Amino acid sequence: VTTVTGTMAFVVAQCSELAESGTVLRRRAGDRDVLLVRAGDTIVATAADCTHACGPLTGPLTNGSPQGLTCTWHGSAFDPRTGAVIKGPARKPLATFEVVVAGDDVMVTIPG
Amino acid sequence: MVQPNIPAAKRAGLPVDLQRLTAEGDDWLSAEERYALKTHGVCAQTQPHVFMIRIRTSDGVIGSSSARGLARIASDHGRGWVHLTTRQQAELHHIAATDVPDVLAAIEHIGMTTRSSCGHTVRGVLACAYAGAGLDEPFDCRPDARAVSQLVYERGQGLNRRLPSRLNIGFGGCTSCRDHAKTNDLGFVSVIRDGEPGYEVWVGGSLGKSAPTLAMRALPFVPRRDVLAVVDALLTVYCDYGEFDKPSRGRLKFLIRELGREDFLDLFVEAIDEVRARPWPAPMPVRVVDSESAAQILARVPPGGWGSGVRPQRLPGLATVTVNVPLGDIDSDDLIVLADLADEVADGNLYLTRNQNVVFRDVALGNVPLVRDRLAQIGLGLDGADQALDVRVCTGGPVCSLAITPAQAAATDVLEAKALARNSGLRVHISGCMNACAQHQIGDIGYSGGKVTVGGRNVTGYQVWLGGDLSAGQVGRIVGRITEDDVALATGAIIGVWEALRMHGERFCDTLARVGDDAVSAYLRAVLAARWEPGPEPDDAASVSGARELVGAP
Repeated sequence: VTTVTGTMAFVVAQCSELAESGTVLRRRAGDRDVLLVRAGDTIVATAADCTHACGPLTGPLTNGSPQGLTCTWHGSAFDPRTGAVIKGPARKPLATFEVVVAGDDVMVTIPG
Repeated sequence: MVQPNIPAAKRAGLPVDLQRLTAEGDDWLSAEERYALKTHGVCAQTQPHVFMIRIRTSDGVIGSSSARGLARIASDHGRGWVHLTTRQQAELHHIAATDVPDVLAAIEHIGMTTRSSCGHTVRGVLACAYAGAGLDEPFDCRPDARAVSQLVYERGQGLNRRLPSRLNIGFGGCTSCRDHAKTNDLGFVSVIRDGEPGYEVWVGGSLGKSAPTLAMRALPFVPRRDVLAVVDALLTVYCDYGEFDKPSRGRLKFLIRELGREDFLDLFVEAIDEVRARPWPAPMPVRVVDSESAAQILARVPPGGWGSGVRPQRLPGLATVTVNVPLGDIDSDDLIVLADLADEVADGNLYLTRNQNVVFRDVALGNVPLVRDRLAQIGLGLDGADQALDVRVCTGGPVCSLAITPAQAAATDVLEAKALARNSGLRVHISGCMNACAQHQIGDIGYSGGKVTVGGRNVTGYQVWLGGDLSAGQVGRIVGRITEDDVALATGAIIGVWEALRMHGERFCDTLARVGDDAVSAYLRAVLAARWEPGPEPDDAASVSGARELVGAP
């Protein structure tokens, strides 16, 4: 755990785990579950559960172009880059988190 | 999951050590202890080690400070999710077993309770959300609903140990609530006789998973002062004669069928006569509505006009507004916004409706645009409330432990049906199982989730109920079956067939009655081909047939 001003940073994965575009990993960052998503050249992080009824989200992505993180319970879909709702029943966007890559470490920063 | 011996649990006094949950979680609970938990409002979810907790409202009213407290509890313990039910109650989900005692205490601390909100209890008493404010009611039934709620609540677990099954009580004042009261085991429909306010008393209604039935009128008039005696008498007859040892046949409707209408009524009236003279609390005063003032009231129109989301109140210059809460789901942040709005522009209360929405009362007409703007900021609104796209739906799978299908996913798909958008008066109800939490039997179109046979394959899907309409005194019938992926498709086809067949001005149920269920099913088969399976699932046919004759016509 690394302390950054106003945030907590957590090493949650290695870059090698996210080498393939479209990869989705569910990890624990402090007291939250987050999803790490390799979308094209970038790695993004979002909350791991749907904003509707808290169902678990999953990929897949296609060729780095996100079709959306999808709720396995009711089919809500979100854009992992922005957290925006693509399809309901969810109405609220997903929380997104800053990702910092340091060497092979993938860190996610969570507001303190 | 092991099924509990519910009669044994009740005879044992419904023991369960709530505090032990904090220390040890829920692995130690026996099936009977899990049943006992339900009488505290704590119900299983599909997910292990977490529970749904149902908050009981006495008449669908939540004060703004309680609403903020509820939002806080949901945020701290329930992942921020609050579900509003078709019985004007509120549910929290994902409550960790170890948090249950703290959450129950927190709910009591905000002036609410969960007791007797699940299991074989007298559930939260329904009352018209527009009672005391609307134009189309004889008088305000809410004070009597609250008095009944208090009476049954005070009897607590002592009563819960004796009840053969659950008992629903509803009060109806406005036109739609009067009809809806007849879906309850005990319904009070407000009337004025010779200038005296009182009630018709209806008994034996219940939707439920078998034999959906509308109530029969038991008494043409009881004065308000006798309402508590009527409730007490019904509880006595029900507990003395109901089928305690066969919970599946425990509902009041089965007792009435077994005794016969006349013998039941004899017992009921005799019991009322025995307790009528007791010193019941006097009813609160209510004002009888002066209908002659309606024209004066309607003459002042709010910005944007009147509609299903903005209704006139008795007092000129005030409106009752209905917040359309999609699928009955709201998060803790939005609930706080609603609580703040209730204080800022309304009477400080949130009134939960049977259509899973939230009503504000005493809103000055000039404040309606402010309400719209504030709601728009959180993605909510007043438009479409109580109309076709306001689909009624339970929590469903995979959250509810009873559900077979993810009803909320189906409801979301249905919203895309263009045919529904052009028929705003239709009502679609979707339940994730046969237990009727979304009251699928009273929708024009209803779906109940389950394992069904479609095209020779046993799949997860829905039985399709058509023709339910309380204004016509009808519950729906199962006309066919579909897979879970075809709910939107079937909804479009059903409405399309209705549009093709209906005569001018005909209600959905009228067209169905004129054309016949079999013919409508044949049309749907022609449209949907192998994706439509006619008739009910064979195993369920016996439990739903003949239901409407159970207690006879009113």
